Order: sequence, then structure tokens, then C-alpha cells
Amino acid sequence: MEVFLPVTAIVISSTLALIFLVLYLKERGSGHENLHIDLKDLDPGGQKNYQLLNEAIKKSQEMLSASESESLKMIANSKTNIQKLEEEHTKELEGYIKQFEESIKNTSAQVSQSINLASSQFNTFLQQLAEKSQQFEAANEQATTVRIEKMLDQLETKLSDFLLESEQKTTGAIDLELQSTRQLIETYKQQQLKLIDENIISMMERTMALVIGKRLTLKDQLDLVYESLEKAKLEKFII
Amino acid sequence: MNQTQEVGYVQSSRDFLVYLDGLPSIKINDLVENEQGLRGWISALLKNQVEVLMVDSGKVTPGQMFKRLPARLSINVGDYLLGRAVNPLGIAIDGKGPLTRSKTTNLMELEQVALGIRSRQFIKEQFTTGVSLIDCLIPLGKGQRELVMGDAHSGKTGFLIDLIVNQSKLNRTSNKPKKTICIYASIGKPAASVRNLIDVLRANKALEYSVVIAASSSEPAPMIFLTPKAAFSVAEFFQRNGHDVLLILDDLGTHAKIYREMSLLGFKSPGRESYPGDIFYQHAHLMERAGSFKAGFGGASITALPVIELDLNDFTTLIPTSLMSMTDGHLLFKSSLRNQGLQPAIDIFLSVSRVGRQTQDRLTNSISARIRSTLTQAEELQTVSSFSAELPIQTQLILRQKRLLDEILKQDPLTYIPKEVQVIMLSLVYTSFLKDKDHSFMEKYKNNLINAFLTNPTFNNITKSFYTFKSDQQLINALEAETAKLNELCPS
Amino acid sequence: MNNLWQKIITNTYTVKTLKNRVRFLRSYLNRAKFDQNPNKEQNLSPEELIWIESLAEEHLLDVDTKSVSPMMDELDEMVEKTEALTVYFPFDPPSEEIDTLGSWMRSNFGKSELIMDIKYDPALIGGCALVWKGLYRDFSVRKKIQDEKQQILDSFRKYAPNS
Repeated sequence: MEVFLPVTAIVISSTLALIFLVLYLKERGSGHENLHIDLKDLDPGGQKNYQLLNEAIKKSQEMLSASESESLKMIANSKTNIQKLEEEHTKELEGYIKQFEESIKNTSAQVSQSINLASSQFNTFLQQLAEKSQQFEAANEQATTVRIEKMLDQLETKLSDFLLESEQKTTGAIDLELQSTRQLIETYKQQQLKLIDENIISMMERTMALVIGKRLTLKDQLDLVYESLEKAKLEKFII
Repeated sequence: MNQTQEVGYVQSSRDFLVYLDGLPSIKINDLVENEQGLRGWISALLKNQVEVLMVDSGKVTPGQMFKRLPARLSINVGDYLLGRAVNPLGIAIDGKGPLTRSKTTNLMELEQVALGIRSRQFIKEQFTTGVSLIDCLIPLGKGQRELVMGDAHSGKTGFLIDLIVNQSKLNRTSNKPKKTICIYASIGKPAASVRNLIDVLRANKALEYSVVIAASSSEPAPMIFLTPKAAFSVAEFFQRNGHDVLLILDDLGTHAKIYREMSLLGFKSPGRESYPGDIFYQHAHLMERAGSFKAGFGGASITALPVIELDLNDFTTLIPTSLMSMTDGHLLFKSSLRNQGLQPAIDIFLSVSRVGRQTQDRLTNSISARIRSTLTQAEELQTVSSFSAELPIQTQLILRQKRLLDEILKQDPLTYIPKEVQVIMLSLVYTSFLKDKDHSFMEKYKNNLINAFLTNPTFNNITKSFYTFKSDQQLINALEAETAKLNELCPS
Repeated sequence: MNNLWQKIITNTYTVKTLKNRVRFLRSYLNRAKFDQNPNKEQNLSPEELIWIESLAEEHLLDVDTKSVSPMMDELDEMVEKTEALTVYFPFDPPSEEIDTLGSWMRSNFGKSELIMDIKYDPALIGGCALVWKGLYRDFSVRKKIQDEKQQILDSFRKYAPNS
């Protein structure tokens, strides 16, 4: 492709030059006879131009032929290249595919191997487990029966103890309660008696105040007063 | 058994002041009782007479015999006081029946000498109130004495009730074994307002950990005078058992007036403003009983909030200035701020907390410093803004920030905002989320934002990781990251 | 002065009587010395008159108008200073008995100027209760009952149907 563009550019430019030249020549050719005459008629400058044109025509013709041959070569080359690449690629792909297939085969073989191994192990394990559990069950049964018997014995003894104890405790508690209530009653009784005593005394005082105040003669009163004064004297109340 | 009993006969009596003879070995603060059962306590020992102040009102005539009682001036204290209202002598006044005396009843004398320096410890723990303005800008410490002063109808009592209710909320959510006890001493207030207070506390389920000690204005003056002493004795009982105590004395101005009445009646020489010479002592020796105590003396703390109502045009009168000098700071309430809608109506620039700053964590401290500087700048620019029509952008920003901060610091009564959420809300003002927003936006969405930071899982992580932030800038950056979600939450 | 005082206190045994007598003396002297009309009838009972006249001769002759007031003030002071023994009686003793009691007390307690302040307390039943220098002590029958409470109750119990 990269080669293609400059080649086409060259081709196009050369064909254009050619076309231009042919047209010019045609124009000029109409006066072909005039050409030679023209040449003679031409001034040195014109002659040079004619020479240049001829050279240009030759060069462009050479260039055209060269480019044509080049392009044909390139086309052929590219075709062969493409063919080569295709062949290589297909070869590689086939190689890869083959490898992949092999590896798959290997792994699947390994997996199936390991699965087999595992399942066999598992089976053996299950068998062992079953055996063990059977043994365990048998032993358990024995042990539980023994224990139950023991427990029943213990329960019996404990229950009898408990009953005895609770009996004692309740009787003890009842006794205490009884004692405390008796005490309460006693204290209450004492309090009431005290109250009664005080009431008696105050009643007595009041009655005496009323009665004796009226019944005592002056002499009696005075006697009492002198008695009190004697007492005061004894106690040295008046200092 | 000594069968003699000390007696004294009334020589003269003047209203609640009675002079007795006899009573040879009586001491000050002993109790005496006459035949009708009227009690009084010995307040002074004169040359040939004993001065008695009557706590029960009744007719005392010369010649009556007063017997000396074995008890001294004291109050029965115990856990059964919680949820009850009592008078300064320990008698229940809330109509819920007599106080149930458990076996562990203690008798605390009303007059106690305050514990000395050896027993005190440095105030390290913050007293969380749940009110943004206090917790961030004017923080209180456990064991601090903070004077609550303001003119009438400035919302002081409401604020104090909020404190009690919030403490009860905190008690319910915390798992500390020893809860904070609130004691409210109502000194000479009308009986109806005491009733009202008890009802409000009960309605907000705050009575469970509160004690109310009240002497209404109809009681004899000595009874009213004893109220703060009784309150402190009860507080000391709870403090020695390991509970932190909040003690509110409402109000000490009435207490001072009552003491003035008693002294003038007793012919003590009047001093400045006719107050007796020892009025400062009467308040100071009470305030000294508050504080933060070492473990050997019970641990825990008594935080005292004395209240005084004053005239804002002149608060250089004797009692407010004395109280300001004996407390660790003051909160100034203004009714003008309340009328503008700011609640709590505290003037931030004129209020101070001398001890609170050391109890705040570093993050809150830095945020509050930032806020204070913004507010100060805004104050200065306030006058400028009223003159010029077109303000530079920085000025506008500061003024807008101030309005936003004011809006955030407003808090409805009986609301509780946890400390972390408070600081987060205030930090939002410095993020781009609120950069172009006005205070009306904040008014609309404040509650939504607070709820979001409390419950919404998207924002909750910031609240939960609050204490991991090392500087205020970190917190602000964390909030910046959530700006888009915040905008979604609050479409403008 | 002392003589007058001694004369007064010798047969005055109660606070009330003492104060009354001093008061009479004051008003008598004021009338006698200052009243323009000395013959106007004085409103004193016969006993009081007798008593004052018993004083009059010895001690009041040298009293003139200037010394009346200070003398009376001094007397008042001495009255205030006198220690009174408060006695609670359950009855109301007549005045002669009071005098007897008073003199008995003075001789037995060793206080020659002791005066009684008599009060009435019927709850004492019998005997008396005394208050001296601010100390109250019950010597009455009521106190005895309270002290002997146990014995009394025991004797009652003898009559109880059950125990």
C-alpha cells in the first residue's frame, strides 16, 4: 500500500504529461509541415525549447515503462507474501490447537484419577465410622444403665435425708415463731401494765387531791407542812 | 437522781422578750418552758436576770414560773426529714402527720461552731445547675457561697426552684449512692407562698430529695430568727453522712430585719441603719458553716445560696454589702432584663463567681472566655450600631453573635440542659452554620437543636465525645463538619 | 435606818406583807409630813395603824421632810435585796399560822431575815414545795406518792383478781 501510492502518483503524473504532450503535438502536428519550417523559422530559443520537449518526451516514456514494470513486480511480490503469511498462520494455529487439546486431555485424566482416589478414601472412612459408632452405642448403653442404677440409689438416700431435715427445720422454725410471739405478747402485756400502773397513780393523785384537800383539817395540813420543812432542813436545802 | 429542778420567775416581759430571775446554772441556748407549755430559749445572761426569747406565742405575765428543760436549742434530724416541711424546732408543718422517728434520730444543736481550716478542702467539683448561663459563664463550685441578689419580681425564687428541680432530675439519672439534698429555708415569708412552693416542688417530683424549713411571717420573731440556723444544722447532718447539700436561704434581708426588731426591743444599741452591732456576725457565722469538707469530716459539701432583695438604685446599703463581702461571688438579677424576656434575668457583667472558674473543665473555660469577649465587644459596639446605618461586616457579625448568644442563654423555667449540650449550643455561634443566621432562627430551632444533640445518633457522638476535645477550636471544627446535616435539620 | 429595818422585818414573814407595810409606811409618812391637813382621816385598817404606831415612837421622831424620800428609797432597796423563799402550799394558810411558820423557818434554817413568797398549788395534795435560789424542790405528798409508786402498786396488786 505504501509503495502503491507513490507508484500511482508517478504513473498519473507521467500519463498527464504524456497527454499534454500528445495534445500539443497534435496541435503542432496539424501544422506538421510547418514543424520543420517552424524549426527553421524558430529562433534559437524556440529551437532549444523543441529540444527540451523531445528530451522530456523520451524521459517520460522511460519512466512510464519503468514504473509499469515496478508495479507489476510489487503486485507479484505482495501476492506471494500474503500467501506465505497465510500458510504460516495456519500452521501456528494448528500447533496451538494441538497443544491445547493435549493439555485438556491430561488434566481431565488427572481429575478423574483424584476423584476416584477420594471416593475410595471416603468409602473406607464411612466404613470405619459405622464400625466405631456401633461400638460406641453398645458401650454407652452399658454405661447408662449402670449410672441410672447409681442415681436411683443416691436419690433414695437424699430424699430420705431431706425429709428428715425439713421436718427438723419446720419444727425449729415453729418453735422460734412461737417464742417470739410469746415474747411480743409479754412485752405488750408489760407495756399495758405499765400504762395501767401510771393511770392508777395519776388517778390516785387526782382523787387524793380532791378528797384529801377537803378532808384534811388545818392541823393536819400544817403537820404535813412541818414535816416537809423538817425534811428540807435535813437535806440542807436552804443554805 | 437529782430531784431539784431549776426554775425562774418572770420579772418583766415585753412581747417575745422575757426576763427571768433564778435559774442559777443555766447557759445560753438552753430551753425553758412555763406552766402553759410556752417555750423560750436563753439568749443572754444579765447580772441578776436571764433574757429569754419566746418561740411560742402566748401571754407571759410577771410572776409566772419557767422550768428549765433538759434539752438545748436543737432540732431532730434524720432521713425522715426528706420530702417534709418543718419549722425551725423540728415540728412538721405540712399537714402530713407527725414525723416518723426512726431509732437513729439525732439531735443537732442549732448553734454550731463552724469547722476550722483543717477540715476544709479545695473546691474542685463544679455544681451543675442545668442552666446554661450559670454553668458556662458564672460557674458554681460545690461548697461555694453565692449571693443571689436582685430587685423585686426579677425571678429569683423561680430560678431557685429551677435549681432544686434540676438537682432532683440529676439525682434520678445519676448512679451515685449519695444524692444531692436540697434544703430550702423560707425566712419570714407568708404562709401562702410556702404552701405554693411545696406544691410546685411536689408537682415537679422534686420533694423526694428536698427539705423545706419554714417560719412564716405570722410566727414570733425569735422563731423566724432561728430558721437559717436550723437549716444549716440539717445541712450539716446530711453533709456528715456524705451527701452534697444545696442550701437556699430566702431571704437574709428579712432575717436581718427580724434581728433588728429583736435587738431594738432588747434595748441593744442600734448602729448603722439601726441594725445592731453584731449583725455582720449573725450572717457571717452562718455562711462559714458552708464549704467543701475533707473525707475525715464527712466529705461532701454544703453549697449555700443566700438571697437578698434590694433596690438596684442603691445596693451599697449595709446588709447587701456585708453579704457580698462574706460570700464567694454574687448573681445580680434585674427586673428590667426580665421584662425584656431574658430568663434567668442575670446581668452577666455585674455578676461574679470567685471560686467557680477553677472547677470548670478547660474546654468550657475556653468557650466561656470566648463568649465573654464577644459579649464585651458587642457591648462596646452597641452604641456605635445605633448611630451608623451601614456597619462594617465584622461589627455586624459580633452584634449578630451577641443576639444569638442571648437567645441561646435564655432558658425556660423548669428546663434542664446537660452541660455538654450547653457548651455545644454556645459553640455553634462560632461555626459557619450560624454565621448568617439571625436570632429569630435560633428562637425557632433552639429546642430542635437541643433535642438533636441529646438523642439524634448523628449528632450524639459529638455530645458523647465531649470530654475528648482538647481545645475549643477542636469542638468548633467537629461542629463545622456537621454543618450540612445541621442545615438539613433546620431548613430556613 | 438599820433599826427601822430590823423593827419592820422582825414580825414580817412574807414578801407580800413586807411590800404592803413599806407602802403604808411611805404613804403615812408622806401624809404626816407633807399633808396640809393632818387631821384628815387616813384610810388604814386597825392592824396597820397599830403597827405603824408601834414604829412611830422610836424611829420616826427624828424623820423630817428632807429625809423621808431617801429613807423610803433605801427601805425599798433593802426589800429588793432580801432573799425570798418561794413556798407552794396546797391550801391557803391563815395569817397567824403564816407567822408561826415564818418564825419556825427563821429559827430552824438559821436565817433571821428570811421571808416567804407564798404561792398556791392544790395539786401538791399536802405538804409544800420550796424554791430557793432558783432551785425547785418538791417535798409534798404528791412527790411521796411518786417516789413510793412501786410499793403502792404492789399493795394494789394484792387486791387484783388474777396475778
